Amino acid sequence: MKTYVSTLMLMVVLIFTAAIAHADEVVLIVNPANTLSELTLKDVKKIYLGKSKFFPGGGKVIPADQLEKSTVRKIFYEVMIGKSASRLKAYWSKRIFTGKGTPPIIKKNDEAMLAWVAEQPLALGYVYRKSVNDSVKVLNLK
Amino acid sequence: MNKLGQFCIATLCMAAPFTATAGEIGEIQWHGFLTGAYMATSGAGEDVHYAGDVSDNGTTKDTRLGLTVTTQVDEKWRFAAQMKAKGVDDFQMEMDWAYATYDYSDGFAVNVGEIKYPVGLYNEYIEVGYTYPWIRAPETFYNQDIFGPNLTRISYSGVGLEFSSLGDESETNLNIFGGLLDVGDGHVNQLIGAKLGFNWADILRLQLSAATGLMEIEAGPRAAMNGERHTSYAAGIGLDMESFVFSTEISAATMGVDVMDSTSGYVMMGYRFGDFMPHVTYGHWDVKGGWGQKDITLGLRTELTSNTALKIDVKQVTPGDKYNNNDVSAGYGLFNAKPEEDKVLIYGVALELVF
Repeated sequence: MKTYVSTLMLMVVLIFTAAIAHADEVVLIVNPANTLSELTLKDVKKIYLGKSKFFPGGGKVIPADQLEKSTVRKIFYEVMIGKSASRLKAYWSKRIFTGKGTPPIIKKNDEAMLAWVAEQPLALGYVYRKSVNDSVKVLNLK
Repeated sequence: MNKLGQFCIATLCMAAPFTATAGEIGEIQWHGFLTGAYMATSGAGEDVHYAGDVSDNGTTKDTRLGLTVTTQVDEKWRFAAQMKAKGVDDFQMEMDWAYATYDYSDGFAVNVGEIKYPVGLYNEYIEVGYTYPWIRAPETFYNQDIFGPNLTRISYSGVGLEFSSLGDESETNLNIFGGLLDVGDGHVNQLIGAKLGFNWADILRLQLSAATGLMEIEAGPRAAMNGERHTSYAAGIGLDMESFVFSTEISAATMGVDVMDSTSGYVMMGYRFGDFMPHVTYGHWDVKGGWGQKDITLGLRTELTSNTALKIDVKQVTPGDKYNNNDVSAGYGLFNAKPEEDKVLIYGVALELVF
């Protein structure tokens, strides 16, 4: 009986954790007119670090960030870009003050990001999966 | 700032409407940096100055404010310009550089205007103290006074071609540049140079560069070099791991006058303990005429916030012991006259901010 209860509790915890993890999943979004359906992690890093100014297909890209202290941005940079806030600040300082690039524009939350991506054909953004609606297209990450 | 640079900034201002926070096509972004610095020598003596205005009386002339403006004009063209006000110039705001870039692809771009001089690991952002460990980047490599190693300048007027190759984690760049270089008391004409750079995951940076041009200096202490060819070669390695930081650069320069031929360089090591990074640097500048210098710097950089740093540096300079009397240059190392002590201490504190 004790083993059964323990197993049941473990399953509940796993299901609950999976649900939270899914709710916190961050996805990449583009304008529905964009013909891309997927990006590699390498492409995402290049675009968000300003090293690539074009989508893999050749079209111009305008990436957007969320607010510096937002959780969604923290998850995005830790999981996809792999840079801490201070290292990112130092990185962008070098590019900004040589005229080589500027950091992505800022959208204040998922709602603002979705509205902007829906309007901007060159947009690339990220939001929680739970926030996605039909106005944008979710890119698969290869 | 020459007319080409003025043209670029004027075009930039006309090309795009101002917004404070945007970054989309047709809009402008503003960023800035601020350095508040105090430096002083100990043992230099009366009327003896080190690398500019640092003396026993102390100076705040390294204090500076800069504003950088950038805009993406269309899918291919972008403009960038930087204005700065420095203590050494009585805080008169002036244009630092201004240029246009045409991004043909991720692998090729063309820069036109008053462009950041690309030689040296740190030179392209030398005014932004927040980006490096010291209060001043090693003067044995980066000093721009007429008595210095003469390897770098803030900017050149002309054209730069940038070829890039992006790997999974690496980036290889070839920058071919040419134009005109302002050296304060004259120009380096017919400047042409190349820089080959390699960057692996922003952890390892390698750089090789070579540049040459004809000097046009008709008056002043360097007039003997008028019409002579200035040629420089430099190599650098930078390593920035999570904790360990290392960089070294070496160079060789000739200026058409035998006694002015020089080699120079530095090696720096630092270690991050959380927000604190102590570091040590050894620098040398050897001039054939014998008036170079050796120095060692102990420094501490402290991250106060994600965009603010406090720095404390103490440097001991041992200037060369041969005074040059042939009017090409004059000085003991980077001092304007013989210091009282054989070894001079230079200490400083600086607050660095980017916004």
